[in-house]
Amino acid sequence: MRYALPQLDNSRRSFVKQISAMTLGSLAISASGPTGTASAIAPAITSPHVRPRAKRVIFLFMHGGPSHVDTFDYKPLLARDDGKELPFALPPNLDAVPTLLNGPWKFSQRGQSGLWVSDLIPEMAKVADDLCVIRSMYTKGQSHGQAVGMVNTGSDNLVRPSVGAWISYALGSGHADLPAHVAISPATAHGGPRNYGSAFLPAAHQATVIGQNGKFGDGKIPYLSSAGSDEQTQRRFDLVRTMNERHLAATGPDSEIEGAIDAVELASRMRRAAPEVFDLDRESSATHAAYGINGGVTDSYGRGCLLARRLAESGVRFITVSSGQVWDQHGGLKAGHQKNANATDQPVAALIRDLKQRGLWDDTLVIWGGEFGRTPVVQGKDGRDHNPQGFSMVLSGGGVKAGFAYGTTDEYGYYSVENRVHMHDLHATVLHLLGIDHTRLTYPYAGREFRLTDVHGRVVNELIT
Amino acid sequence: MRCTSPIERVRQKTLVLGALLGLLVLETAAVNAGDSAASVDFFESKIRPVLVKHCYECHSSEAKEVRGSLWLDSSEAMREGGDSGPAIDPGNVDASLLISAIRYESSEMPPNGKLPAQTIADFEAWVAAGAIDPRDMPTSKAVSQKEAMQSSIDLEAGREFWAFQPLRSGSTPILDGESERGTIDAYLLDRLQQANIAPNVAAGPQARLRRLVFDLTGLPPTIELQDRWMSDPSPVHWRKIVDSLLATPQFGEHWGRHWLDVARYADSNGSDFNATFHDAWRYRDYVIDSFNRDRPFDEFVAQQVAGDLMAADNDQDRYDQVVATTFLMLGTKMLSERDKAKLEMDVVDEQIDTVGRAFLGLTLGCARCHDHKFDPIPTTDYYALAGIFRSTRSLEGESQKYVSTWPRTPLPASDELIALHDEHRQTIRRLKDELKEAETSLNTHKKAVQASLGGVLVDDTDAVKVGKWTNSTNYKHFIGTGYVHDDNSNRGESSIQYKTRLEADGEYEIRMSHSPGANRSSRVIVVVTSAAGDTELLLDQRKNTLEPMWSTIGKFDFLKSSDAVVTIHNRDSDGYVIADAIQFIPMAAPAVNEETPSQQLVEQLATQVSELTALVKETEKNAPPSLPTAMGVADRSTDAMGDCHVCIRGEVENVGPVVPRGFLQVCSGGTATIAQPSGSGRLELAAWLTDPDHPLVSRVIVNRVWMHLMGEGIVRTVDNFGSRGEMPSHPELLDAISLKFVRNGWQLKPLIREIVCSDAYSRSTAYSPESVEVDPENRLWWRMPRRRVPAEAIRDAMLYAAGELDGRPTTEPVKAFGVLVSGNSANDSANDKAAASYRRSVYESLIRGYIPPLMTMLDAADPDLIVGRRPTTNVPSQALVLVNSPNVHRWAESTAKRALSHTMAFDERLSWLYRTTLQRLPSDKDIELAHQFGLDQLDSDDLWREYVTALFASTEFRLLD
Repeated sequence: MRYALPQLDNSRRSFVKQISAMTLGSLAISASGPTGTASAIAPAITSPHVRPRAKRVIFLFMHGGPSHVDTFDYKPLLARDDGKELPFALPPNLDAVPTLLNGPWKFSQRGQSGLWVSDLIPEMAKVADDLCVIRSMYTKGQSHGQAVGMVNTGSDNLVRPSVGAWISYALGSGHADLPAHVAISPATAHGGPRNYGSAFLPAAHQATVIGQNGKFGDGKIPYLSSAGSDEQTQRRFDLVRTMNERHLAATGPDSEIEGAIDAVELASRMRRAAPEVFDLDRESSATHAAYGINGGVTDSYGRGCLLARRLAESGVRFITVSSGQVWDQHGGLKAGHQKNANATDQPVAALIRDLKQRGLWDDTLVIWGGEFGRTPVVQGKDGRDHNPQGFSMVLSGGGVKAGFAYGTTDEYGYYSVENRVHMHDLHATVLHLLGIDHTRLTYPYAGREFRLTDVHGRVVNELIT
Repeated sequence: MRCTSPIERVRQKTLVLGALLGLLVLETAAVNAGDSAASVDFFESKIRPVLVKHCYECHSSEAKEVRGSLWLDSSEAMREGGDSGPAIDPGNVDASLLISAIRYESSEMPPNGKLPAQTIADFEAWVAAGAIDPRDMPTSKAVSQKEAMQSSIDLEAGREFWAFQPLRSGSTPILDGESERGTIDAYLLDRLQQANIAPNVAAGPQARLRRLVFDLTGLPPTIELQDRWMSDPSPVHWRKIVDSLLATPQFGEHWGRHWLDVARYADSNGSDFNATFHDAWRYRDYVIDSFNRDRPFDEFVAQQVAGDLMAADNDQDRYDQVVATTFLMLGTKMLSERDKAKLEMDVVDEQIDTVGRAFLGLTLGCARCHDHKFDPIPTTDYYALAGIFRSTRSLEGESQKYVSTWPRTPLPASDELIALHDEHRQTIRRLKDELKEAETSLNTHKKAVQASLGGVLVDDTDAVKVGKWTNSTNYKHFIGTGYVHDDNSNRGESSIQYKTRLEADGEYEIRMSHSPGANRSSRVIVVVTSAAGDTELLLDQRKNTLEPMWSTIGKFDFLKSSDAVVTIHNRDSDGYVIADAIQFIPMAAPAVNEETPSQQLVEQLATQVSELTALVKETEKNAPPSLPTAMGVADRSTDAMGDCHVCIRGEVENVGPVVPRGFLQVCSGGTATIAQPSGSGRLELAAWLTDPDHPLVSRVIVNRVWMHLMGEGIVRTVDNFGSRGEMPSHPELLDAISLKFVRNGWQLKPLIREIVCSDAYSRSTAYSPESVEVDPENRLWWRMPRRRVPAEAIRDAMLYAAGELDGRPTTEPVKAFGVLVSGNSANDSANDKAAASYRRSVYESLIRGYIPPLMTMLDAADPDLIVGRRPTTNVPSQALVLVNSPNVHRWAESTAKRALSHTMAFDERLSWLYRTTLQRLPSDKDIELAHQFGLDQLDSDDLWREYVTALFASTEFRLLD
């Protein structure tokens, strides 16, 4: 991590120069300065490549793969031909049989826009006019591991920085005392930390983690507090600083010691600032009720969404709220999807309403979706298999069209066929909305420049207002 | 899958051709093979379009799924055919399966309609005329590298780059050249003089000793060694200490860890399926042992690439060699990838990348998709290497559907261990037999006791079941052959009715036998049909009211003239509903003596069963160490080995020419092609890598050693010696010590000794404004850079200060884990299973995805990456984990206790603390600070702990001055 300094030229050019001059490893400790001006994370891109529409992203990750044909992609033919043979070939490596399965949820047109949304997610249906549905997503990876890697890191097989790490690297933190990248209740499965890690980017860009596996937990930053009184902790920090300052005085100028002194100072400030941001009790009981924070099934995801809003408000750039690996209904579609929708639908809708009400919606991009969708054909008695061939993802706020649907899958919802949007395209679009040209956000590693979208990616301008 | 050898493809294609042949009808067709049919034009206009339109969909590399493994998109593939014969036999129309298939004689191809007669005639004419097919021009057959490499890369120009030039023996500058320690200093001083920089003088003896002991062993010097050294800080004594440190086992533990960074060592797979690497630790120990015994580095390299193929003199050598190849297996893999051809190439890619960066300091991954953009490495070089690793078996079988796993290679085991295993197996079998006998006896006696109660027993087998009931014997106590349960499903749809006629009118107690448990229903509806009519009751099946298996339902009057009925329903249940037997016990019967001998016997037997069960469990837990297997590679079977196709743009389906197996042309003196591979080609690769004239291998390792001791490499980009890397600051020095290294038998200890005995190594880290002015980056080593102690050594040093460091190695550190260290269910977490331990960090298990925060925050190597040079970061979370982690607090507390129990005198306590943590005496300022903090007060135990925590978190603790 680098500390922003008033006198430091943060332009891309000098950044690259610094890298080559210092070698990668020492990047994180570049010069230090008056700690009062230091930010937790300084941006690599200081002037936007394109006009930014959003300042931050909240990714509501429906891990496991919710069924698009039971949520946002209405297929009348699926109801008509329920139980019949799929009239075209299945993709390889599937356990599903080519028999069409109509889901148990009814679709209807919602709001002014008339977007089709199913009864599985009645609360999101109510905010349909705020949603931008991409119905023609496709991605790489027939199994979770690859597809989860794709949506979170843009790579299905290689170790690459996560989307949040790239955005943290590009934009830095919007809050002096908070990290830029937070992962709430991420799954330990399917790559675990890799999905919010920094890979070869400086370590500071990996997410700060709250909770795990879809469970909000105590909602605290690890190691932010310790046993003993607050005073005692502060004295400990002060003592470390004194020791480090004396060390520095003895050695003469030393960037590593200076960096460490800053880090201790920042940690100490974060320790004092973060609890306020993380304290959900500061919200009204009406807000708690709106998010479903009531000890019931919506409680955990509701807390995650509310914390996401508070973090967004405070300047955190990329927040993932993971449902945990729960949407994987190879069997028991009705009960499983219903349970997951019950836990997440209300909090998601509440988040969108809350952002709007607070004037944050316009520059906050909300993304809802899984690593892939599910097959329109049946697996087992009443399940659906993975479907990276075609699925839906939903955007909201942050400069995208509202009450809008883009792209289509075939008549049964199997393959993305028209205005196809690959996961790389979505990533390119997300960066674009943040003011970043995805081809210009690069990082040198192992002898070449890497980027989130590898050599792919198309900005889907059609989605943007 | 297309990146296969021709040999393998032959094997794959047997299916369809076999079927075609079986129905082959021989028929003579008079075909006029006109001249025109023997032209390329004819093929292009009449044949190829038909193949493309009607056949490629299922029989080409473009096919989503190749039907019957038959390809028709190259002449080679068509002519090869399967085991049963070729698809076409040029010149022989009737022997050509393709013809009989399109004639609808053998099979019916294409399946959606017979081709027009004219088209069939064209094919007949074409085959009769020799089946001219431009697709079999030399360019699409196996081509030599030279032919295939129609790339823009100019290898001759590429060889001019310094790193691909042979090592040069220059003459050591200055006259000091002949003494061993002179070489390094001579080269460095020469450059410093040219730059007009006066190097720093030697650091103080305390700092030098701390530097040395951490550098060689990853641990701080003991107080005793500090005393010894301070009493005689002479060069002679220094050398003595160096030699003794090089001879300690801790040397290999510390330096082995450096190599494990490069080898991306971990005890689990990480990625999508975090599979346990149960045998990886053997490789860890092999590496540590290799550094300790100073195994020549060329041997070390060769064993890791091809140890399994090398001759071994004895079991120990064989063990080491096989285990060494674990190096190739340690990468993180996307095991659940369903496209196995892609997975295989991804694994090959990972292996090439690792070999490239670990041994050659080159990034080869780029060449998978195109010629390397910066280095003279054509894509054909990549596939020359890919052929070697494609011929190597790294994956075998599946641990569950779609999830690949790897082969386990048996290792030589001692006779004692084998005998132990036999004995253990026999013990288990004997105990299980005894257990079975006791259980049978228990059941028999239990029944007898039940019978003695009198009355009537109706078992589930005699009851009338409605709905779905599942048989089970899971719970050990039951009547008859087992019991049934409702699977906790179909609520309200299942019932079971027990019906009997009782012999006499009167009152009966009804009991039900069922297994108890938390997942059982607490609300089982029981309807009793007695003389009084139907009575509905609720039974809680979570527990039994009469141990071990009975619950009382109640007492009811029954008439002998009508049925006594008990019906169980699963309506309104809240868990599993269990149904075993129902017993009707007449109340009129003589009271049963609770202490009948029979009842006592049942209790004895029950005790015996539970004791035996525990004993079996215990014995199974105390199994002897596993019979050793290695996570090593092996060559594939001969028919599966072969050269690899270029995969155009890296896509597995996009097949280019075949490249003979070989190496990088740019750093090969002679030919880079293996003329006749003896197997996969790994042996030849090992020989190529360890050729004393190889321009990269020795430079790369010598440079890494230099970096570990001197802060930066002579080439600072230690993993990149290509054109995108940095140029060496002292190329002649690098060559001089690399040449000496090779000539001295590739041994690392003499090299390390030479560096740490140089003046340059001893220099102080002091800042000098004048020198910084001229050489701000210290590229000329006018001072020793201030360096970070590695994460492992920081933790070890805390444990050492706390007096809790356990120096013993671990064996089988992840034995407790099953196939996965962490399941892909929502609740599983490896953290729960990892036990706290105080071994040296190198011996702690390294679970991908679960590296302890203390380690990651202190920049321990990420095992997902090949790490030649660790990053050095300063982040708030690092400060937080050091200042607030409960572990650090505990170690600080233990350290404080030791300081306090050491002596009663404050000054001596503080001296002990500073010498134990910072390996120096406290300064006046330190003493003042300690006073200020209150350490001299009575009852200051807590303050001491806080003070030590701060010391642990301070920069001085983790930096080498």
